[in-house]
Amino acid sequence: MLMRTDPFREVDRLAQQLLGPMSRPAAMPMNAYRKGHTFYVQLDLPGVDQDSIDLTVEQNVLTVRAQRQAVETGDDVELLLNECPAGTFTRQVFLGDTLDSDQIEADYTGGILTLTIPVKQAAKPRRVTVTSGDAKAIES
Amino acid sequence: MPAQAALEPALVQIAAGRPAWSAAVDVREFPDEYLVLVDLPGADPDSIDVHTDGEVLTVAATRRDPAGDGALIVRLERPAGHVRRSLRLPGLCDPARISRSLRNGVLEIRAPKAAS
Repeated sequence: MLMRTDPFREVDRLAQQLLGPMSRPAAMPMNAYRKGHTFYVQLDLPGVDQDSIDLTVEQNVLTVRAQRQAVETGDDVELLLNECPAGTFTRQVFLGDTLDSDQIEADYTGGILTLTIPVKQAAKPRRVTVTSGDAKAIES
Repeated sequence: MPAQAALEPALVQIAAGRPAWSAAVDVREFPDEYLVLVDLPGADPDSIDVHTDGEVLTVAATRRDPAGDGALIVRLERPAGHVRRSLRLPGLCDPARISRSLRNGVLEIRAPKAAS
């Protein structure tokens, strides 16, 4: 049911298949949902510099690239636990034809990148007025 | 059908085998303090709780699903709910002098070492 309305077909589907359906993507877990005439995509990107976020749309492929600097350490610093991922993160998402990729807005707040994509005007449900070519009713 | 719409996100979550939220943690030991970083993107700042008895540091936080009612969920990978991590520090810290800050979804805790 969902796939019928799913405007996202993942480029990284292969990676997911290799890792298994239960596995968590290596980085940038994503939520996507539609509310009214708008699509929202949210990506977890903690600790990223806002300026390092690079967002490009080519054809219907949306590419998110971001960099997280590793915390600098020195000789007198001992790394006891190192789980927070650092480096460059990339994720690509195919946008369906019903989404207006020219109107994407992006916001980075609290470690979450939120993309707001409106549904194309042409894809919105609309009412069609029925007209008639019949001649006016004859009144007698 | 409103009932079905309300149920759907929950069903999707179960079907997708959505992972439990387990925050990533970095711990660095400096000569005079411990620096702890916890990835908490989207956590409600008011929900973040940091507690220590000097030896074990516990961090708890909650984040909600922002989709809300009436949303048609297409993908749910981001874990939501409550997270709690407890870490045993290799030495004692001073609970009274702990400082914390939240920036870009990363909680930074500075725990000065207890005077020996």
